[in-house]
Amino acid sequence: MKKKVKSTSSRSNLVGWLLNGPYLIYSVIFFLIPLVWAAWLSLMDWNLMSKNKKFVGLANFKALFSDEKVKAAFINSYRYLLPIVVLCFLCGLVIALLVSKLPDKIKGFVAVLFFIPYLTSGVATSVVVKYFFNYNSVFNTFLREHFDLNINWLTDKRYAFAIMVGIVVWKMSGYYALFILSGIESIGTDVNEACALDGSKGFHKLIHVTLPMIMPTLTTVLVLATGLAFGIYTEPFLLTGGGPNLSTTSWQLEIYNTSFTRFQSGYGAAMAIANAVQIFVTLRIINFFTDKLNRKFGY
Amino acid sequence: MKMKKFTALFLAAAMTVSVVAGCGSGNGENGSGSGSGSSSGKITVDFWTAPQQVQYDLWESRAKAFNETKTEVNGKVVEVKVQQMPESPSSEAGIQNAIATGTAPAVSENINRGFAATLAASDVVYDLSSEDWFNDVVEARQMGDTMDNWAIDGKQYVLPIYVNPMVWQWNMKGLKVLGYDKAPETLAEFQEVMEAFAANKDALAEVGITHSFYRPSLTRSDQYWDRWFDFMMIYDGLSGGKSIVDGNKLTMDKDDAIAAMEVIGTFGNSIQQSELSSIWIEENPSVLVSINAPWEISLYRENNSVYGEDYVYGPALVRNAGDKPYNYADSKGLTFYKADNVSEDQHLGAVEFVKWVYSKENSAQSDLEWLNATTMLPVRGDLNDNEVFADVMNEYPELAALAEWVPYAIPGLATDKDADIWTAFTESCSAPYMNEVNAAEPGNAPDATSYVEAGMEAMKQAGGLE
Repeated sequence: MKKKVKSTSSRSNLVGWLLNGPYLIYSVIFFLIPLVWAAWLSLMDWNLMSKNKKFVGLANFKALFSDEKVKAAFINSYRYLLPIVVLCFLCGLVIALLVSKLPDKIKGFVAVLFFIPYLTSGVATSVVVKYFFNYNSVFNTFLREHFDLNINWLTDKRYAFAIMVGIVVWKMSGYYALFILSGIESIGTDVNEACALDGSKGFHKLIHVTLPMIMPTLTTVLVLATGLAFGIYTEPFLLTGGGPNLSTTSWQLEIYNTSFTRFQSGYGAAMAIANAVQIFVTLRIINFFTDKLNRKFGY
Repeated sequence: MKMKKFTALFLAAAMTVSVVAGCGSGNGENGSGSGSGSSSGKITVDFWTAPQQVQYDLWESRAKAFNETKTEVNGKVVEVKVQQMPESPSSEAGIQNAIATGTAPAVSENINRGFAATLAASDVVYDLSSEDWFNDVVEARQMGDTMDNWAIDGKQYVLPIYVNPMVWQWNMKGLKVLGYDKAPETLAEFQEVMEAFAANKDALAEVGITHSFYRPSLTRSDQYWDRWFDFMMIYDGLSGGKSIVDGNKLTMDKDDAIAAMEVIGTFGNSIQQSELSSIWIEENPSVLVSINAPWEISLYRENNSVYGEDYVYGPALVRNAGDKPYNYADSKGLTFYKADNVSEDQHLGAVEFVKWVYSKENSAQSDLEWLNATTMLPVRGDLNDNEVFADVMNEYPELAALAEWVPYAIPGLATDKDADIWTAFTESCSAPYMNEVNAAEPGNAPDATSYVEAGMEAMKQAGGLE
């Protein structure tokens, strides 16, 4: 009897391992091995081509502290984080609230319309934006001729940064709106009826009922938007190259330029690890506050 | 129950096998998964072209013709396979990736001197200088003088294919409005033109000219290569071709560098730094001058932009009339990869192919086909003398004009730190200098001394130079 139980247990263990196998193998190949390899590469002075790999210890990490580009990428991460998280959250919330009020028949269709920018290629969007803000574009010609305004949109750091943020918010708001919409839709009719009886409606209901009820969804949106702000690459790469004066640069852009334009792959790997540490620490801090908030509302 | 377990086990095993299989090389035919392979009786040689269709088509037709010759190496027939090099996301990064992953081709085009220096420092390309066939090709194409400019530490790693002398492209209608019928050639003439520009803005506006110089990347260090085309071109002309880096020394002449930056400064606040979607194909181009782009010549013709009427090339500015107009050579060529995945047979096969394309019998015809297809000048010393090219040169006076400046065209720096050096120069010199330039009127260049000094210091640090 004992033997039979043992054999059933080990067989179910085997099935468990086999079922988890694909994901474990996937994780080892695509996460663990690259991570270990990047850590090793960050200790080398190597361009991925040369037969001579020079071990430099922590010199690459030391150099990060005096690198203006790293400093700019570090600061810009937070400069991007704040407006992107706030605007994506607010726009997503507004879209979700508006869509939730629509008749069921067209709700799904309208939600998909807002989702389309997310599906649009970042390269295509950037190219369109580039042409839109060209000196000789219809928009700029109109501004010059009618308002005597001659704005260098992509070479003036105030406008260039705002354009980067604008593209990301436009692209992602509809996506996050779907999360928030599903949260709003999951609020039971009993809650809505209770609100109606108590006279809670409009902004009061939003702040005191709706938002607290969808707090876990909002936390997910917050974490995703944070990750997004740290991963900006396509827009500055295609539109500004990180300029003017590094004002729109990002970690991803600097890692790319270092590794594949200046061929300092070891240093690039050190930058990538520093970037990962910054993301990890930032997300832990955000999680700390969102956990507190969630606990406050009973989650 | 048993059936359920069996199904679960089967699915799990299938998923595991799929993932593992998906990570395999997936190369069944050649087995090597690399840029080349060999089997009994045949050597397959991979040739990578620039990521442009026109160049791919040209090399593909050459490879087809070569394969029909059934050329043999060590008793095996050489078969050349052509593909465009991946731009992942740049062609240089594509080569880097190929070498790192053991998928490098035996030979590729599209390599400039700066990247060749990086490859040479990494010991992944063949030194060609002592190869007899290489010297035969140099002789057949009369490239002797040019090759001195291509040397990297006294060795040759690149067989140059084409050269675009980078010069000025002037708006002929604009020059005429200012009272000139030819492009300025000396610093003094240029200053005169810019003063005339400042005094005749309204008249220029009537022919659509709103800005003097189109250059949107002067502040963009990520587009460091644009310093080759603007700063280096001007410096080469004003310095009489003095070197910028020699070995591990920064040899750039400070006074000439200041003069070069001040040429850019002379355009003042009339530089067009916003992106324009097109300039020279418009009926009335909105700038007085830009840096030339010979690869667009066909496009200009398609849009009825006539050389000599709508635009004209002007040489790199010199200090005194009669000085040689040295300029920057936008030039690329072929390199042979000494990568682990390229066997000796495959290297020899690649050499046979290139030898055949540029042999004494075929080189002129090969270069003519190149010129017709790309409108970029092949690296030859006899472009304006060889009868083979006479028809093209007559048909394209713009190419004939450029060909005059080929002997004075100097390719990029022979250092593997080329990208670092120009990135640093842009960050410390041209970008901050532009802040002052943007506040200056055309014709009144701000003093560039402190910016050039800062730029030179940054170049030293970035390039590890003395």
